[in-house]
Amino acid sequence: MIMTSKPRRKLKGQFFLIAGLLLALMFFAGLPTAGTLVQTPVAADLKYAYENIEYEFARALNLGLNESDQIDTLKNFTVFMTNSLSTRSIALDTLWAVSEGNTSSMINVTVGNFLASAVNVTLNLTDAGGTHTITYMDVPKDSANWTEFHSVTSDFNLTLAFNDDSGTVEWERDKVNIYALVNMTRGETIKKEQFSF
Amino acid sequence: MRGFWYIIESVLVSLMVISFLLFIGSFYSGNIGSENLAEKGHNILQSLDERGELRNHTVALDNGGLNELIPVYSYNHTVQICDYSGSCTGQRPNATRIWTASYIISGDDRYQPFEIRLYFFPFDVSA
Repeated sequence: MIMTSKPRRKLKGQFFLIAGLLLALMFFAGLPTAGTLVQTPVAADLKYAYENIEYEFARALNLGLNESDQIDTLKNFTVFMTNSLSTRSIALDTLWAVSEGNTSSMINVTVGNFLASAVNVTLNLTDAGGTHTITYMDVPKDSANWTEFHSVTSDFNLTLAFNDDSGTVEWERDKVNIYALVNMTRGETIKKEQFSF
Repeated sequence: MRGFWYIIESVLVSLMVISFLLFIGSFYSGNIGSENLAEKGHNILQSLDERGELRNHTVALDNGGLNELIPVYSYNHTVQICDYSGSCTGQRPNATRIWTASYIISGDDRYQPFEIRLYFFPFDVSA
């Protein structure tokens, strides 16, 4: 009977393997120094931001009404919203109108410009008595203009036009109403919406 | 010279093995897609608001109390509350991967605007 034994393999690559493993670990350990990455998906973020704006503008207006300072509150909140969204790289441009009945047939309509620059705004108020047109020239950014309309019937239409944009809403005279045209941009993604309460 | 090539070879093999393990590990760590986390964060803050639990904690600057109400267990999370001047209560986590959801409120029973930021980050990182 012939006994054979396998020749014992010499270990000779282990130090190279250990060195390679250490170098690979050093590579992975160095990755965190690349900086923090805050991940927020673009399109979804704009959708959630818009939902937030739509809900909260009405709420800000109500809180302002409780303090009899509705327009300044809404102006202040629009600036806050714009600044907060800008930290998430979202540019918010909005133009809003608020109407509030003063006496039985008189209303105040305030237009706030929170677009990127000054703008000409045309306001058409149409009721059973006809159409009243007001044009505000060069309304500065982050400011508001207002007009008092007399002898307005209980229901009326309001059309807001600026640059190439316009929108019409049907409102009741004896309640506080808000209408906003909202444009949000993040990179190349744009979301354009409007709402009215 | 042959030793040099052994090292290069073992570096490449180690990189492949570690990358494979990290890839497999990510499936077992309850990893949710970033889109889902952002959506989840927004929905959580919105539902807390609808249940009347968001605004009182926010105006009280109780970011810890608000964080305890976040029902997410597969990820670490912290809450930051920022006011009009931009100063914030709570920390942003020092992590390489962070998902953030943001919710802006105009106040609770009076006008007092705040931004609530909800951060999600992996468990292996402290806030």
